[in-house]
Amino acid sequence: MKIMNCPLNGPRNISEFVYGGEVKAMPNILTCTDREWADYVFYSENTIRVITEWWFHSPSGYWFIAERHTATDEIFKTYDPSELFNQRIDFEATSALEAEKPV
Amino acid sequence: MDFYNLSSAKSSRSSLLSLNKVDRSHSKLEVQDCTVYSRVGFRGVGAEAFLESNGLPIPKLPNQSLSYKNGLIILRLSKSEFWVVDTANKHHALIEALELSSKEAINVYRLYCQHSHGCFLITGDADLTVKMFSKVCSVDLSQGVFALGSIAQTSVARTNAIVTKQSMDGVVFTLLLADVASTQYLWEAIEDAASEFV
Amino acid sequence: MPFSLLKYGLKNDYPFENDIDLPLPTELKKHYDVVIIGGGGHGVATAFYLAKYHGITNVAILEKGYLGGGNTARNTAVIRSNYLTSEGVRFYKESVDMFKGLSNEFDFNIMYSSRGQLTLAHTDATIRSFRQRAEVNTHFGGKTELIDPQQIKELVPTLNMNPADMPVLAGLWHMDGATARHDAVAWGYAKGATQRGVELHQLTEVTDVIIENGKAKGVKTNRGTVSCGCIIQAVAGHSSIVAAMAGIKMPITTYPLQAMVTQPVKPFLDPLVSSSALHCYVQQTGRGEIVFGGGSDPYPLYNTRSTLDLKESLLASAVEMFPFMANLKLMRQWSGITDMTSDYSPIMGLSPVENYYLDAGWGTWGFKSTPICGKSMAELVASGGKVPEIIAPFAMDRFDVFRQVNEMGATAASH
Repeated sequence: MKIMNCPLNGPRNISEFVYGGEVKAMPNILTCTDREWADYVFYSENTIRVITEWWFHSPSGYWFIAERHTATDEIFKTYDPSELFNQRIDFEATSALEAEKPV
Repeated sequence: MDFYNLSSAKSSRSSLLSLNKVDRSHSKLEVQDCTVYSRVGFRGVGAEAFLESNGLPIPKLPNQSLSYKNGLIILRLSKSEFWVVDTANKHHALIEALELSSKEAINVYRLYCQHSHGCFLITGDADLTVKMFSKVCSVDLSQGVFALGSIAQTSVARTNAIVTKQSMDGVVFTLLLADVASTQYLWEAIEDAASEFV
Repeated sequence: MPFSLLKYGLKNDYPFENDIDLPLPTELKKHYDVVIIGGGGHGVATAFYLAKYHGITNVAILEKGYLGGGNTARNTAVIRSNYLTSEGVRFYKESVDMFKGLSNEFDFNIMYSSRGQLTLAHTDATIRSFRQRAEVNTHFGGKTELIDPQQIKELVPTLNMNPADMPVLAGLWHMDGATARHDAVAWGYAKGATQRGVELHQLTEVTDVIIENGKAKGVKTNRGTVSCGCIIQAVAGHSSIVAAMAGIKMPITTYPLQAMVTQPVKPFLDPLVSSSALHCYVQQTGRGEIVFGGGSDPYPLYNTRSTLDLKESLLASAVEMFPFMANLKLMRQWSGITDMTSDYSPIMGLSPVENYYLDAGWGTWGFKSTPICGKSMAELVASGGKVPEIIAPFAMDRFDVFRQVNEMGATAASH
């Protein structure tokens, strides 16, 4: 079986991991247009190259980041998300609700 | 009630489960179901300081556990995630107190491992335990590789599980925590795996 | 008899010399009215209907590899229309109807075999969705009904009615379900299209799309540049990559889909059987082999490798359904690259680039839609961009307005 190196747990069978999508910047939900939101949610370059993506080690509930080639399936690097994200990101769900007015 | 304390509801836990459910009929390995014993988890950047302020020792690195006193095991599952597991059914009051005081702590989030996980304790010959696990778990748990106090968060019999090796009163045991909904299945799987070591 | 054979052997001219299926390769022309990127089932079907129904024959099909060598050759040849949404059922129903007449239309046997398709329900929730699918299918003229375990036992006596401790509670019996020889479908269309003047260029890879003022003007290939009136993109498995040449970003993620086949055995399984909970479908081919398929791989990849873990989990499910299969040996395994959309429906019609038409996002449902897809894409092109009603719901901009056509429940493991 293919082995992936978990930054927390070490080398494990790929079946212990769940793919979590490409790492990409989320648009501001309060100010972005529907088209921008659709682009974030549905659209993707989806091409052949090394991509940076979220992965989840299911038995330990641990999210991390991997750099993987989308054709050779070679995993070049895995690391803790703290290397890219150094602070907590809060989503202002309540203000979004207020902004939503009945049509 | 703004804070429902799961550990304090000990008396309401199902009494259908025998507290002393042990399988030893067909194997040199003994499996004990500790699911109804108390345990609690904490997560967050304040979790380590919170546990220390409550006088508990902390494993230095992620994926390590240590044995405190009388079967109280402290697991460090990541940099900021800790579980306190009672394997002797003696520490309910301590766990309840921890849980209540965490309510005030900053950057500490309680984890519902009491009700999310089942808990088995496996004792018996160390080599046979390793052999038994090698049938159901892809991580090498053998003596030289998986030292006392190591944790493996992995798949056991196709179920997500936490495995750690610890000791109490000089007796080495393996603690197995897995999704509570799978406990019946996992019990049978372990029983089956252990049955060849007679 | 031996003498007549000897006579032919010694002759210089062979009796069927001029009766070949495909014309010999020619040079690329400077200009075509229509360029179709991709010589799989969809591409050649579109060319066929352009030539036959609309008289448009100055058409080039540009194929990187060989005719029908991509997902047309890799799918498991399931034909069915028991989907969930009105938009989906109407579309696939017409495709199934067209399949029935293809052998006659081609004068070429596609080995269409109508044996029905059975999907098993193991939960009440699935039964509810089956009821809905049966009603929608019936409404659009399909033959689909909900059947009970007794009827299932009669249809498939070898089926384990309690696979993996998940009792079979009911089945969605889709009498229109069928299978056909997938290669023959591509060959039949290609033969019919080229006989009418369409050019099929194999080993011709499109390397760039020429766009001027927002209009598609031509393509660059490894055999030179070609100008054209319009372009149809019909590539399964590389939709995003080809579309990117035209500057188009698509709502697609590409995953491998694996399948495998056993040694041949005596006929025992008439319908195509699929389990909603075990994510496994099983069918016996006309040659007696048993074909297994399941869900897509768990993460995106442009690679046709097979994996041991997928085989293991899929075969575990297959053996639960038909325990005696544990004694069979696998003969082949393979995988295709599938362009999945988030709503499990295709992307067809106009694109942000004028005169550039999309036939993409065919995930795991491409083969069964080959005829209707060719017919409606040909209509779209012949009318100069007027989107036929039957494919209007599958426009790419449905994602921009959050108006998806959700077929996930009716697709996931019952290709």
